[in-house]
Amino acid sequence: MNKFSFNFGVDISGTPYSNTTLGLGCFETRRYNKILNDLNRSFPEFRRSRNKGCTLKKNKLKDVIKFLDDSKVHMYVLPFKGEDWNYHKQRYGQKGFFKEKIMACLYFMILSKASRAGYKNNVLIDNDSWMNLHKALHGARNWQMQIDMILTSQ
Amino acid sequence: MIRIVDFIASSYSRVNRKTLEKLEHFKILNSEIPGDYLRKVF
Repeated sequence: MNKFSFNFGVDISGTPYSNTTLGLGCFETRRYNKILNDLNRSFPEFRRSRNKGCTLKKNKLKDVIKFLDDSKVHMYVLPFKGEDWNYHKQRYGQKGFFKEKIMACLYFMILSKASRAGYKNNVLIDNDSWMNLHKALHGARNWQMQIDMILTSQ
Repeated sequence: MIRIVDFIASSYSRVNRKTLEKLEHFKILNSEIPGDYLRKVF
């Protein structure tokens, strides 16, 4: 069977108990270099600065997202509001690793929507200081994802 | 890769929702966690 390998990246914008958004990007591994080279060519200022998305001007961020869409980068966002955090905190807040367990659910939700069964999926997850990523990934692994994944963290 | 997804995650709160919804490869997911997921982790 002809199998393409896909690259996934997952990052979180915001912190728990406030409005957070989980973002996922996905494209074929063989297109990785082309997409990065085209991104640097279209936005040469990114090579010189390490601006985060939250500090970019809105129009610039819109241009970047439009570029990614035109480059056939599949993008998923899962908004999780402060009220969502508080709703679950009232029920499960006393349990150990509450934030990590909620994040395990969110990782699973977004990865299962975006992943392609039957393909090897390489997943890179950004490590945030407020969370024990190892615990969150352990939770997600316990579900025996139907998808063949290699989970790594940065 | 992480830089690209940082842009994607930031876009939801900073770019007009209608603009995002018009894009072919951009999907906004529902935040409701299914009950069986919660039962498994807690």
